[in-house]
Amino acid sequence: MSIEKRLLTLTINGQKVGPVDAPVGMPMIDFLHEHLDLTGTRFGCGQGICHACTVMEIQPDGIPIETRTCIFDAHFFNGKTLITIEGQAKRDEHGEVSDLTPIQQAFIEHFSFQCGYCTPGFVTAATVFVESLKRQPVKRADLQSRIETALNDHICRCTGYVRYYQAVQDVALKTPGCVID
Amino acid sequence: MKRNRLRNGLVSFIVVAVLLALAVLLGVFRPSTVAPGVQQPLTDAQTRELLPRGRELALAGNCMGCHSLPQGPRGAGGVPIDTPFGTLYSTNITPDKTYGIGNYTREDFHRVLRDGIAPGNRNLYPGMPFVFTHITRPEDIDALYAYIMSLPSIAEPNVANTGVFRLPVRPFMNFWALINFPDRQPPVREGASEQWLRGAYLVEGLGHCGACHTPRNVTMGVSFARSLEGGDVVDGLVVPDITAQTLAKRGFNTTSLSEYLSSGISAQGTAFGSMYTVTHFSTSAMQAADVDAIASYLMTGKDGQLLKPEKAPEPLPAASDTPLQRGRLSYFSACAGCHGTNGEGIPNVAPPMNGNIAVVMDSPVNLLTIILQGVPTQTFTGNQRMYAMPGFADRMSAEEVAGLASWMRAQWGGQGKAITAEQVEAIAPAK
Repeated sequence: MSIEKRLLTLTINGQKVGPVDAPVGMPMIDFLHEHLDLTGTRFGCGQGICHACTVMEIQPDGIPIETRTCIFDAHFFNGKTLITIEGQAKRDEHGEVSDLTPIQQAFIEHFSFQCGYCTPGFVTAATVFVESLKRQPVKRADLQSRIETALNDHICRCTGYVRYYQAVQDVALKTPGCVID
Repeated sequence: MKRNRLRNGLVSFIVVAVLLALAVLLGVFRPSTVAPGVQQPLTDAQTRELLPRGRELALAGNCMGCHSLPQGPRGAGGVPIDTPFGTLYSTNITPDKTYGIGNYTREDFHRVLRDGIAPGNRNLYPGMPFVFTHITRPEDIDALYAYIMSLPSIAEPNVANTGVFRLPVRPFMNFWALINFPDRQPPVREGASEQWLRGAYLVEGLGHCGACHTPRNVTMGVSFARSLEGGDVVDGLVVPDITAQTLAKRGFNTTSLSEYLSSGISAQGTAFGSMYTVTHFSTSAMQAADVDAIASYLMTGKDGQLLKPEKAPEPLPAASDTPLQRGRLSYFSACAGCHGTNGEGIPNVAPPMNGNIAVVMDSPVNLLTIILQGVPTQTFTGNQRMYAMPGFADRMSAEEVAGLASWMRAQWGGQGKAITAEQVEAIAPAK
């Protein structure tokens, strides 16, 4: 029995991928790990529940959304643009990380994570959330509950979420235009 | 002379018609049918004895399903029921004397359940399923009364109805009742088992399954001649046919149907939409014997025999043909991760698609609606849960959804007719 394959083309972290033969039904996370060696995206429950495998999808209008990579196959993203955890920070000409994103920096400063397994998913969710605040600011009084709603789907088994949420609050308050009184 | 006679005839006809209409309006044709002897209040001892029975019957009737807001106080009402003429709100049925039914006498309560008429000759709207509860036996109405009067009082005012229901239209329900309120009796059948009789009594009475599962006529009355044949749309979903013949065709037998009712989960899919509130609040909390009785009644064919389950439909040849391959690939892209490459599902994660009723039904509306809108996380009996299914309205085009649904129906539903993008676009967006 041969594996059914199809051609796949998409953009990941600014690089065009493909056209490449990819098996039908291969979860996107396996494609990232096995075909592209992008192993930063974490495989957790494999059932779309824990959201550890979440990456960012840039919609045609430029607005980023969260998307899970364990429940959809690679072809689901054909023609689309993704940013994985490897594509978040700025890199220098040698490909080394030069500047972390404000969210990544805040997670480190707040000691938001311990084992780090859920962190790529949280970076994605928090970045999508802060971007949404830039388009539609939130009242200061509503910020905490909005953070909770935005990150609610993401499961962390180490730190009890508080430090993640505080870090995101910190970034939202420091980023001009995110919070109004 | 002749002309005068004609005129007099016409005048008397109009007079009689007006008088008749007035009589209907005043409720002359809706005399009380409560049992004799219910004028006497229940004694404390009677009340105590009736409580457990009342609790079970209230569960069977899912009274609190409509009379409580989700997360709201039990029995305090306020649930909106949309009709083409305005929105009705379910009422406070706790024993609060100001806002609830605390002042109802035993007889008042019987009159409501038997006749749909509340104290002060107020006609209830048929959102209250009194055409079903009508067949409830007096001793069971007593039990319900005892139970409901034992609940905590909640001082929650009723919400005012909107639209035409703001006007004094209650008396006009007498016309509706004249056409749509037959004097039904608990079903009987020669040689029927106790179990069948119990199931029939619950399904056709308090359980009011037919309130959704039986189609309604143009005046929104229940078409009892087409009992449980389904077909109407409730909350945007097509209500399935649950006649014994159809249930057997879907692969149910008494055991599996009973399991579905008591857990909300079956090989044919999990309860969603309004049926989820039924399995969640009502049938999963009822006594096993009553649920078995309901399943047994529903699975009994017209000849009185329990029907045998049939096999799920075989894949149609069209499922392997070129036009549907895009749909198949969409399934592998978007659905197979949870629902399985063979549509077998994952326990506690996602229901099977193979033989799923939403896939098998003639109408594609439920399948399309779920693909587009998703299903929220639902909990089921025994700490089981199904995690939320995402909606694909923003992530797939109407053509893609149509192709996906067409392939699924050909593969697992025995339905060969392809779905069009127009059918997908006709589905209302999620609220």
